[in-house]
This record gives sequence, C-alpha cells and structure tokens, in this order.
Amino acid sequence: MIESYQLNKSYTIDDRRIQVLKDVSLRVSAGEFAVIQGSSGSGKSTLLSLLSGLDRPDSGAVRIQEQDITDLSEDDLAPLRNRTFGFVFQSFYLVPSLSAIENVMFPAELSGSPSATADAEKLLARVGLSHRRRNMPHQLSGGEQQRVAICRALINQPAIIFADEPTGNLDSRSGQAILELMLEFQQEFHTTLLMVTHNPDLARRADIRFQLTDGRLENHERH
Amino acid sequence: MHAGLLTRLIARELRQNRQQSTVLFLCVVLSVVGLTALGGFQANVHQAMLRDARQLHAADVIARSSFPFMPALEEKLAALRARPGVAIARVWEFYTVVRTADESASLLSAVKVVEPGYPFYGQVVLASGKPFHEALSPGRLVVEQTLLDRLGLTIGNRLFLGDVEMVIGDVVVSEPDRPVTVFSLGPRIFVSARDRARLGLITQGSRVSYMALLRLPATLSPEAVQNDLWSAADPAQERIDTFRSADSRLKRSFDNLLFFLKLVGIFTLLLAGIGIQSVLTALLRTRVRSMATMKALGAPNRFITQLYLGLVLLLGVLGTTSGIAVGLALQEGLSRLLAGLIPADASFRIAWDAVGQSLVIGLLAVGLFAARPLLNLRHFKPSALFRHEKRPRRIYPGEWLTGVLTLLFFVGLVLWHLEDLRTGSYFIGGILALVGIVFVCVWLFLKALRRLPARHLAIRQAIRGLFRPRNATQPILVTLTASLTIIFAIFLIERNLDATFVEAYPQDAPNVFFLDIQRDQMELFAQLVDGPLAFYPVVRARLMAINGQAIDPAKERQRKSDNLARPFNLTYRHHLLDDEEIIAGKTLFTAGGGDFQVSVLDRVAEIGGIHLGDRLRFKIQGVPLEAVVSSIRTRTRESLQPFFYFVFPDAVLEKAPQTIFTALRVEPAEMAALQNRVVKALPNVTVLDVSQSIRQIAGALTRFSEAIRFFTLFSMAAGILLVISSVIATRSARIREAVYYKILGARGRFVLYVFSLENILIGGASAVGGLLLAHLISWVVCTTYFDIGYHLYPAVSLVGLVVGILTVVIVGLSASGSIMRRKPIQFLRAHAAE
Repeated sequence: MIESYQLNKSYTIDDRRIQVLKDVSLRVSAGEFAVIQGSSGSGKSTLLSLLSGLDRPDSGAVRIQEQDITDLSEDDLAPLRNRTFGFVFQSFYLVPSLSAIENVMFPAELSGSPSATADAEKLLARVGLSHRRRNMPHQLSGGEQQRVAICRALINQPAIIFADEPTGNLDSRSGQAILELMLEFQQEFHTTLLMVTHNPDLARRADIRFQLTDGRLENHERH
Repeated sequence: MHAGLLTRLIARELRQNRQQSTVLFLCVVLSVVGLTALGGFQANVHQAMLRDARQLHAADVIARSSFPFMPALEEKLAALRARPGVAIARVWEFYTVVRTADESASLLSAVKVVEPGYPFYGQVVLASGKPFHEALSPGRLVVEQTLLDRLGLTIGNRLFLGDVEMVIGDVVVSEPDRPVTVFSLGPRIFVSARDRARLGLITQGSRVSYMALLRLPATLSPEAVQNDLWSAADPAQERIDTFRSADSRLKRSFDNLLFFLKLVGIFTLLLAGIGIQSVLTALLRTRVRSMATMKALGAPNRFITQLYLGLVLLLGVLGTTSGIAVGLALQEGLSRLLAGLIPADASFRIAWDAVGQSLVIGLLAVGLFAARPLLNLRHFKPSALFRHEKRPRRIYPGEWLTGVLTLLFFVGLVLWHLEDLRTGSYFIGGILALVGIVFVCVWLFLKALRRLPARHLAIRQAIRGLFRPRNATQPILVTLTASLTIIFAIFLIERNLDATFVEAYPQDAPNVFFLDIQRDQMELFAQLVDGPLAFYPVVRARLMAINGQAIDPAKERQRKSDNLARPFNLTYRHHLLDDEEIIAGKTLFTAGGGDFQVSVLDRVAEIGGIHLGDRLRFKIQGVPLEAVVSSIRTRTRESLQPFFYFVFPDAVLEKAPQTIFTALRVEPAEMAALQNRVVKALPNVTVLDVSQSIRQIAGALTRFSEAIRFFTLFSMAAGILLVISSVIATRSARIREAVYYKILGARGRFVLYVFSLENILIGGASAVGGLLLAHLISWVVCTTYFDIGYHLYPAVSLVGLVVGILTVVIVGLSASGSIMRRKPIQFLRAHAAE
C-alpha cells in the first residue's frame, strides 16, 4: 500500500523558488494499477519521486506498506528501493557501462541473489531479447532499452513498480507493446503499479486515476 | 560484499572512460615521477658516498687545517704514529700556476703533495697501470690529462712547478678522494712529499690546505682516535673527522643541487594533485546519471563510494608504480644531466627506501586529492534522474577536513624534503602567493571576458565556449599560468645571470687575481706588472663570537648563505673604496674609539645579525682579537672589484701575519705572458684567471638550470593534462555545439576556427599572464637577491609566448579532433531518445 499525507515540495531554479506540489494526499492499495495524469510541469514526476523515496518532501509524509519512509536515510532507503520497488523511467536509464543482461541482473546482484543470471535470462527471454543480452545499451533501440529496463524493474519481484512515462520516448507501436508487457507482468506478479502517463487509453484501464493540476491533486477516480 | 559486481563495474568504468582514466593515470604518474627520480638519485649517491666513505676520505681519520697544525696537535699525531699499526700520511693541497719548460704557456693547477702511504683506502689509478707511488718518484709529476691537453705536452715533457723543473711521469685517471671535478679551478698535479721542501711553495701565509690522513688498526676505533685528537686540536682552525663523520663538501654541494630540483618536484606534485582532483570531478560529473540510477535500484552510498574508490585506487596504484618505474628510469638521465656534479663512480641501483617513500607519497596524494570528489558522492541524489535542480553549493565538513589534511600533507612534504623550516615556509608562502595572485587574475580576466561585447560570431562563440557547463576553464588557466610562470621565471633569471656575469663581463673589471704576495715581494711584483696597482693586505682569521655568543660551526655549515665559521680575509685601511658607502655609523672608524674597531660589510652583517656597537671576537692564527663594530658598509654596485667583509684600522693588523692580494685587468692576449713572468719570479704567488673560472661556473649553471627546466616540464605536462581532461569533460557539450553549427549551415572550417579561438584564448591568457608574472618574479629575484640589473629580453619573451600558446592550441585541438569529425546524424540518432 502507498499512502501520502499533505505532501509539499518546492524547488529552487535560477534563484527562484517554485512550489511544485501542494498538500497532496493519496492512497493506492496493494496490487492496484494507478496512473497519475496532468499537464507538463504539473508535478507528476515530482510526486512519483517523493512516493518512491527518491526525493524528500518539504513537509508531509509518505507511508509504504505501513512504514513511514519520509525521514529514512539514503542507506535505509536503499534496501527498500532494491527489493520493494522497481523503477521504469521515460529515458530508460540503463547503466551505460553494463550489457543488457548485466543491467537486468544488477538489482539481484546487489541483493545477493544466487539466481541472478538465470532470472535475468528468463526475463529477457520473456521480452524477446535473449539474442541481445550481451549488447550494450547504446547498441539497442529505444523499445529494446525499455524492455530491458522493465526486466530490471521486475527481477527482484518488487511489491511496487514506479513508472515515469515509460512510453514517452517510444513510437506508438513500441509504446503500446511496452504497456501491454507491463500490465501483463503487473497482473502476473500481483504488483502495485503506479505510472505517470499522458496516455488517456491507458488511464481508462487503470484501477485508480489521479489528476494533478499546478501541483494540486484535483480529483481521483476509481474504476 | 559485492566484490565480483564491483570488480566488473570498475573494469567497465575503465573501459567506458578510457580517455579520462588515462588522463587520471598520467596525473598520478606525474605526481610521483619527479620526486621518485630525485629521491632515488639522492639515495643512490648518498649510499655510494657512505659505502665508499673510507675511499672518499682515503683514511680512517682525517685532521685538517688551513694553517700548519698547532704544536699540541702535532704532538698527539706523533704519539699516535708510535702506536703499532697506525700509519700517517701528510697531504698538502694548494693552487699554483705551472709553466712549460720553454715558458711559452702556463696554467693554474691544483697541486696535491702526498707522503708515501696516501691513499690508505682506494687507489690512484694511472694511465700506465703502474702503482701510484712507483710513478710518483722524486722529481717526477703525475698529472691530469687535461693539463697535457691544455699545455700541449706529453708524458716525459718537463714542467716548472715554482722554480723547480720536473718531469711528467704519468697521467692520473682517477683519485679516490676527488670524485668530482666540475668546480675545480685547475687540473690535478701530484707531487711527492720528498719534493715539497725544494718547491718552496708552502710557506707562511700560503693558501694551503694541510691534512694528516690516519690509517688505524682494527683494534683502534676511529671515533676514539678522533676524540683523542680533538682534545689537542684548536677548534677555531683545526678539524678532526672520521671517514664516517666527515662533513663531505661533496655531499653538501650535491644536497644543495637537489634542493632546487625537489622544490620543482613538489610543485609538480601539487599541480598533478590538482589535475587528479579536477579529472576525477569531471569524470564523476559524467557519471551522475549512472550513479543516480544505481541508487534508484537500491545501491547504497557505500556501494557507489566503493566503486569509484576502487577505480581511483586501481589507477592510483597503477599510476604510482608506473611513475616510480619512470622515475627510476629517469635516474639514469639525471646522472647524465648532472655529470660532473656527482661522483662518476656512483652506481645506480633501485633505492628501495626511496621507492617506498614515493609509493606512500603517491598513494597519499591520490587519496587526499581524490577525497573531495569521492566524499561528494554521498550527496548525489537519485532524484537527479527527474530534474536538474541547481542546489546552492555547500562545503561539507568532510571537504574542510580534506582541505586541511591536504594542506598539512603538502606542508609536511615540503618540510621533510627541504629539511629547513625557514626555506620551507618561504617556498610554501611563495607557492600560495603565486597561486593566489594567479587565481585572482584569472577570476578578473574571466569576469571581464564574460562581459566583453564581441560582435564577431566566431569570437563570441569561442568566449561562450569557455563558460560552457563543466568546462574547467578557471582551474586550467590557474594551473597553466602558474606552471608557465615558473618555467619562464627560471629561464629569465638564468638569462639575466648569464648576461651579468658571463656575456657582459665588464670591460674594466679585473679578470685576474694575484694572491699570496708577500710584503717583501710587492716592489718586484709592481715592476713585473708595470702599471697602476692597488695592493690589499689580507690577514686570514676566523670569527669566534658575536657579543660573546660563540659561532657554532655545525650550525653555520647548515646555512645556505655564507658560513660564518669559515676562515675570513681581514684587511686594514682608513678609506672607503670607490664602490663603497657607509650605511650605519658616520665614518669608517670612530675618532677616539680606540684601535680595536672594525667596519663590517652589510652582507655579512645581515647573515650574522651584526649591528653598530656589537663586539666581534676573531682568532688570528691562535691569537684572539676583539673589536667593536664602528660602521656598516654597503657596495654601491655589483662588480668584480675586490671587497672585504671586515676592515680594521692599520694599527690593529699591520703586524699580523699577512699576504698581499691584488686584482688586475689584463688583455687576454697578454694573460699568458704576465702569468709566466709573475710565476717565474714569484713562484709562491697564486694567479687566478677569473674569466676562465666564470666560464666554468656558467657551464655548471647552464647544466643546473637545464635540470630544473627538465623537471619543470613535468609541471607543464600536468597543466596540459588539465586541458585534455577539460575537453573530455565537456565532450558531449562540444559535440552538441559542433553538430548544431553544422546543422545550421556552418562548415567544418568554422567549427575548427571557433575551437581554435577558444584554445588561443586559454593559451594566450596563460602565456601572457605567466610571462608578466615571470618578469615580475625574475625582476624581484635579480634586483634584490642577486643584486644585478634586469634585462627584459623581449625577443626571447615573444618566443616563449608563441611556444606557450601553440602548445595549448595544438593539445586542445588534438583532443577535440574526434569531436569535430563527428557527423551530425550520428549525434542526432544517438540523442533521439532523450
């Protein structure tokens, strides 16, 4: 379960203080598929980074599986990110010095899993990239990179996957394939999926939809 | 915990950042190469000196004096000689001018009169291969080959030594206690002690070094004999050493030589350290995304730190060991560069002590200079994946601590290597002042440049390029300017010294000195010279105390400037010389102040902290003399005219044992004839051809500055590495600029032009700034320390400027070559996803 209470966040850009999130409170239950929508600059990615513990709010609190993570240190957050969370980013963010399979294995190796290689190979086979497993990220297309990123997010079978516009850098066909893949995995592993997206079709398929406008959570709909 | 994963990641990081890793590696190499070469070189030479200490001194115990030994010491020596197994050989060393038998040529030579037994250790090697004392029979000489060459003689020819005609019997190849000859004023001549009396050259007042070499049986400890002899010796003029304790002049001059080289070595270490820090910072900046991604995937701070610490340690160990290997190889080059200034037979082996020190210094330098960027890794947030917020720059406590530790390391290194707190402080202060001044100048320059309204498109783009994000323009400019300042300054000081003392030898300055003229020889000498003459009486003495505070010979020998414990030449007169004026006191001597007054030259007054009214106690051949300082003189111009530190009234010294000294300007063509005339008539007189000595000193000075310049090149290399690292750090921004220019219709030539202008701005600013500062430093050093006039050398300065700019431009453009060749489509395809 993901819960936030009265989250506020502001940034300083070029000496200007910008309030990005204002009193955002939300709740996503375990196994749900939730989407966050909003126009550019409305604070979607910021909200995702706060909920996933990648950043700290100025005020308010975040609870994950009944645990308050707001004031956890970086080192306390690390195992949470490694085992409980999975991330899929718009720009993929594969580690450029690691091959496709090594990128997938990385979280499992960090957690000391003895079956990291086998698990990674299985996942890559599921997404049709077995033949590309030794390729470096720059040798893969955008769609292939994102499929590797999805495998990486899933390898430790996390309870929650945070996805920040995972199809934003892909053409519509590749994007659709990626979304189907993510939903397939979400249902198969009973994972909570929290996704930032502009895609209205996808939003319609979500269990819950949050709409952000100028940093405020305007409304949310349950389907 | 994640050893395998970390190892793989380190290997991948190295492969992916090959260029930056190479630059980092080279910075580490540079940081230790100089000090390793110098440390190993010094250790080897010291070891050779210690190993061959007995040979270097040719004896177990050595007694020496500038005067005949006092009766008490003679008695002790006689008693020792009576003991079984003890052997004593007397040696007398002095300079004299020898003449060919036909009196067509003469030459100042270093004569060594030796008794049988010399040398007790080591061998005098002769060209004939004969035993030394067989060749050195009465009436026969053993000479150095250069004497034969310069006088056009061969073995068997005859030579006048004083009034005595002798036969050249053999050529000396090497002598154990004279390993270095570069500063020798003349070639060696060995004479048998059995010829000493008839030569008549060793008389009262002659400038002779008297020595007694002792060989002891195993049952007698050299230190015990040393103590025994000390109990009878007069410490004011006699000195007793064992082969172990002997304060080798060779070692001192060698250490002085290395002193300056080590300054440059430490400066290079500092620059390379800055290089390490800036390359690593640039490398880590390019890895922000990767680090943030790894953190987002659950990698703790410890993991990221271990990853990059491992990378730095690997490069640090590789760089340090490679630097040590290069440094060891350079030792050989150093021995060639400094040939003649070190013992020729010093064998070169790996000095493990020096290697160990370099390893520790290298790794410490890497650790300290890399600490700051590594500590900052903790502060990279994974949220960097989402946005580019510019957080206000904070200096964390760890950074302060690193800064303080780095400063302490640097200060400790300087003090350890220079072994002198005062000089070390000057050096540290000088470096800090230089870097501080350069930093401020660069900051002002960049500020002005940023505001410069450039209309020309290429110039405007080049200026903008200097301020692109991640460009280390300021550190590059500071490092390059500081290293160019040092290189230019060394060059300018050397040129000015050369110009003052060698090239522009004053037309009217004396070029020949006549020493040790006896009072009763003055009239004959004046006839021989047949021209205006100024005679200066010289009384040899030692300064014993200032205001009752005894002069400490051991402390004085440590001094880099003049040594107050050495024998001084006192004189007496009642007038000032043409180039003298009084700066303290009214007249040379105070009327009614009594006879026991002394006028002191400001140079020695500064060294000894002597003031008007102070009481100075001298010892003249065992006789004490105390006088009050009545005036302090200075010299109004730096010239080669004779000068004296201590001038007394006539009445005080008139009756003391003395010789006469004079200096003359002689046309080079007449020099040989005059030397022959004087030496033939007055064989005890020493003739010193100054112009020849100056040429020798100039040769040594040139080699010395070549060695310094060679080591300064490493500093320059550190600056160049910074240029390369900056180009690498800004590679993607530069590629983007080049691609945009091309997409917007610019030709490759325009891109080349903009990048060239950018490098010209960096090279030009560093070279101009470095040159101006070098002129300022050289001017201060020349006019205050050396007290000589200053020449600007505009042509040489211009050449330096052009070379400096070209170097930076060529290096900068070479590093940018692949960027300019990049096709726009490659870039656009690669970045389409972003």
